[in-house]
Amino acid sequence: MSKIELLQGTLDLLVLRVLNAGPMHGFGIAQKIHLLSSAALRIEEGSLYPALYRMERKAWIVAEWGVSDNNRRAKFYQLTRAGRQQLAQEQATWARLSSAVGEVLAKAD
Amino acid sequence: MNWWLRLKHAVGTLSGRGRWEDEMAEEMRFHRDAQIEVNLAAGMTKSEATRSANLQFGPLDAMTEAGRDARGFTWLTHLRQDLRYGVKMLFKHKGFTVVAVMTLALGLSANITIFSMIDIFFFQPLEVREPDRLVVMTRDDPENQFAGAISWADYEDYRDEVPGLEHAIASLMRPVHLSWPGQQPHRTWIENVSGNYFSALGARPQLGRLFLPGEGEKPGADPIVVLSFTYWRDRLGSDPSVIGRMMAINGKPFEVVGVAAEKFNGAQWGLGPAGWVPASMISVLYGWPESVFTDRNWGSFRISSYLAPGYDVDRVGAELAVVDQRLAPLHGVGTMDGVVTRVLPEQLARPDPSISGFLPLAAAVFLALVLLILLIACANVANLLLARAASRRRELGIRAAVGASRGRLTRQLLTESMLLAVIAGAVGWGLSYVASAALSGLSPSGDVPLATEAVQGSAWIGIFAVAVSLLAGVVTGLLPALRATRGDLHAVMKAGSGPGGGGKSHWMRNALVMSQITFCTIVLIAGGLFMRSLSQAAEIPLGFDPQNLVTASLDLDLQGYERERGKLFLKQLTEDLRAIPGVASVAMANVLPMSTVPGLRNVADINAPWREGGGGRVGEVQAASNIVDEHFIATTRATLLRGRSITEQDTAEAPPVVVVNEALALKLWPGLDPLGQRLAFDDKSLEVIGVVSTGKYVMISEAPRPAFMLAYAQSYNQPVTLFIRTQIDPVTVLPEVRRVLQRLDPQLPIYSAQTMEEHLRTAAFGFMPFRMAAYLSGAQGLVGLLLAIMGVYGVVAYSVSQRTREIGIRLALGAERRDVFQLVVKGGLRLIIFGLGLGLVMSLGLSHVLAGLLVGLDPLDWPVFGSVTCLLLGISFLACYLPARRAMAIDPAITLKCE
Repeated sequence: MSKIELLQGTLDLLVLRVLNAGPMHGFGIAQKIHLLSSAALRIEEGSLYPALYRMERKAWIVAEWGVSDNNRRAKFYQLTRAGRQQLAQEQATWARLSSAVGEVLAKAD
Repeated sequence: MNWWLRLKHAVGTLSGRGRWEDEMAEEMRFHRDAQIEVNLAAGMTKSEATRSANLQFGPLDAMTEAGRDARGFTWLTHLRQDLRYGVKMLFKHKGFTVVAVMTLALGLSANITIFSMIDIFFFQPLEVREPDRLVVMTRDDPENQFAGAISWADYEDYRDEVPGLEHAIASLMRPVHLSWPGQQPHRTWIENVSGNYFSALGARPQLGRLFLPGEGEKPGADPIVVLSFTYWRDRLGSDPSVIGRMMAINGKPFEVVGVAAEKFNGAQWGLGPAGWVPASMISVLYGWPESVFTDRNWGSFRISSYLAPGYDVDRVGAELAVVDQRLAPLHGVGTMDGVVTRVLPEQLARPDPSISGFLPLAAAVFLALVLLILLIACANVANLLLARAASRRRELGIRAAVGASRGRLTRQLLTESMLLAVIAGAVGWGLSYVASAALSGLSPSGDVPLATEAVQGSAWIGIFAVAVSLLAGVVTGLLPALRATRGDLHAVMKAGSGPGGGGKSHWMRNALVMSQITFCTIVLIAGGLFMRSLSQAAEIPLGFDPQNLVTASLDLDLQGYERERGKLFLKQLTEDLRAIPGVASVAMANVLPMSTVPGLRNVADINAPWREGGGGRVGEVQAASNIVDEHFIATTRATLLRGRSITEQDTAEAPPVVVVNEALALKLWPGLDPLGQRLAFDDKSLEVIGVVSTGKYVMISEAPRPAFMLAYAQSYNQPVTLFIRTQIDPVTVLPEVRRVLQRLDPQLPIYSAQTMEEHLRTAAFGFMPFRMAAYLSGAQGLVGLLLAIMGVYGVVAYSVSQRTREIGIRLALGAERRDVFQLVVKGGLRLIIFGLGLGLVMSLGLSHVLAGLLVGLDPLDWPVFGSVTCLLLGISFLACYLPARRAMAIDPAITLKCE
């Protein structure tokens, strides 16, 4: 399994983007990022949860206890309005960054 | 929305710490189980799936810590841990804790005590509506120190014509004889107030009613009185049936209409009158002509007012100046020249606007001194902490090794010193109660009733106590904490309990001791200067001999004696008093010097022209007046410089005479022979028959003040103060004096019955302020000295204990014990001399400030500077000597083997 190191700050963006689809628990978020990246990205729990708590503190997301698919108590995270704004902002920044990097890579020769 | 979520989150974190950690654990468990399921689904065996999931997770502790950090509010958790740990450490080192707490408590209690006094003087609000909008009117007259009082006629004009004044009130405090049917009259003070007084101040009655609208407007029309709660409770036993009862004030019938609410003491801070009557009654009560209401120059009233919305004192001052321009000609040409009428916030006009400038300066000086004491205490404890930090490096090293950051350790150490300071603050609070109780014995005595019950601290004291304690905690702990956590703490673990601080911390400790000695020098010099000013004040020539002198005052007018009966009574009284064994002579006078009744009058040479439009003569001089009998000058032992004394021949029929003091003679007739000159006073022309040396009349600290004495037989007046010269201890004569008075008129109230020395000692215008300042600063000096010496001793002793090995080696290599002694003492004394020198230089600045406060003080008073220097050198030599002796006793054989 080839692992890619996440760029600094992109974890927040990924989590926010995944949560944009609807409330999800921590494991689900990690799983979904794993699947959507065709198993290229693997989110460590040691980074995921602190990131979630940090975003909760910044009021981008709220947490609520709910029941998982397999009928167990799990904590579900959900975007707030501030979170959605943050997502939009970070997505735009990311788009600009990646296109800029792409251009440089393409034209550098 | 956003801030609301954050707040909810914060509250959740604060309130549910434990629950949150449980939740986190459950979340982690769920995640792990879900991972195991996925692993199983991917075809792993059960044990493989579990192992893989666990591996992926890593250590759960680190995870929890990281999660906690991300959630924020870690400082709160840390604080709780630090506090718990700090309490544990304080308990573990009980000896250290007790010494440190007591040291800081001494410094803090001095601060809290001084601040309580400042609080009472400056912050305590009056028990009236909106006390912070209340202002007091005063007049600055370059020629008259006591010009602040204002005439009724001027009051009415200011009240009606100055838009910036809202609800202006007038009041006049006067002594009266109060009597209830079937009871002896007693002397007390009431306030004569404008009819709007109570409504303006928002006062409420405890019982009955206050003044109604329209009452107190027509002279003589409303013989009603409202009693103060304290008087009603203490004199009348809180009798509710008092309302509607008739009583007599100065023999005139008055009806009690109400009792004011419990805490209401009127608009004058610190005073507690027995009751309030309408000012419209003053001509009836005191037998004054009704012209007191129209005479512009009859200034007696204290004017208070509320500032109208949008006004400040300057804007009101401008409006007052406009009105004054119109009023000036009505006062008589020239009388209002240079006079400025203005208002002051009530809290800055205490105790009286005419002397309100003195208190802030005195308060600042004392506050600065106690802060220095606190700094000495802080330096002491900081030194203790520094010494302890060295021995704690190992403990800190261990904590650093398990992952505590430097910030975290510093915070931990700071928390401990804050804990110490807070405990010390609580102890100091208790100590300050003891100190305040001791100081309350120093409150001024006198005839005027003080509102003692109202004098209680406000919440500001609590706020100050907490703030100053926390400050002390930071000041004490910051340096040692930063020092202790500096450098490579991990290395400590490897090297064992190593020597710790090394040279740098030595330097810091020395600097601390030096600053202690510096501060201590300043505090001691201040104390010495204050005591010096007390002893200087005691040597000021008073113009009379206070030893073996008894005084007693009475007021026959208030008691309803008409003139002839009064004269007979006084004749009989003085004869009977002379018959008391041990009494050498008895004299009568109108004014008791240094009392609250100054008796200042304007006089001029008889040839001075009258001012146009009335208002006295050109070149009038304000002088202290007295009316004395033929025995007064001899009895009080005033020094007659020229001419003769008043004699029995100066009767009402004889030509009117006056004795002036040197200061008045110099002012009115410079270069001329004062004898035979004529003095104009009121409408009288008095021949100067004698000159006495200038003494003190109104205040001990006054500049040479002009004064004059009239003959009693020529101008009968009340009240009367008896001056009784005794051959024996005056205290033993006092009860006899009372008995004689009691026999002649059992109904007559007597006041100021005391020895003259007692009167001077306790009077607010006598030595009281000097004694208060000397005691306070003396006590401060002692505390400062004690703390500083503890500091010196501690540091020298510590350095000896640290250098035991070095000294042992020196001895082993052949050093004489005397050399060792010198080594230790020299080290200590060097610090002390540096500190002392610095302190002496800084004290020079302080003594110049004090010289402005204490009249006649020499800022370079060498006896004070010299004795403080000797005292500090001597005592600190002792503090070095003891540890040095221990150093001499070191046995090199034992010391060297120990290591």
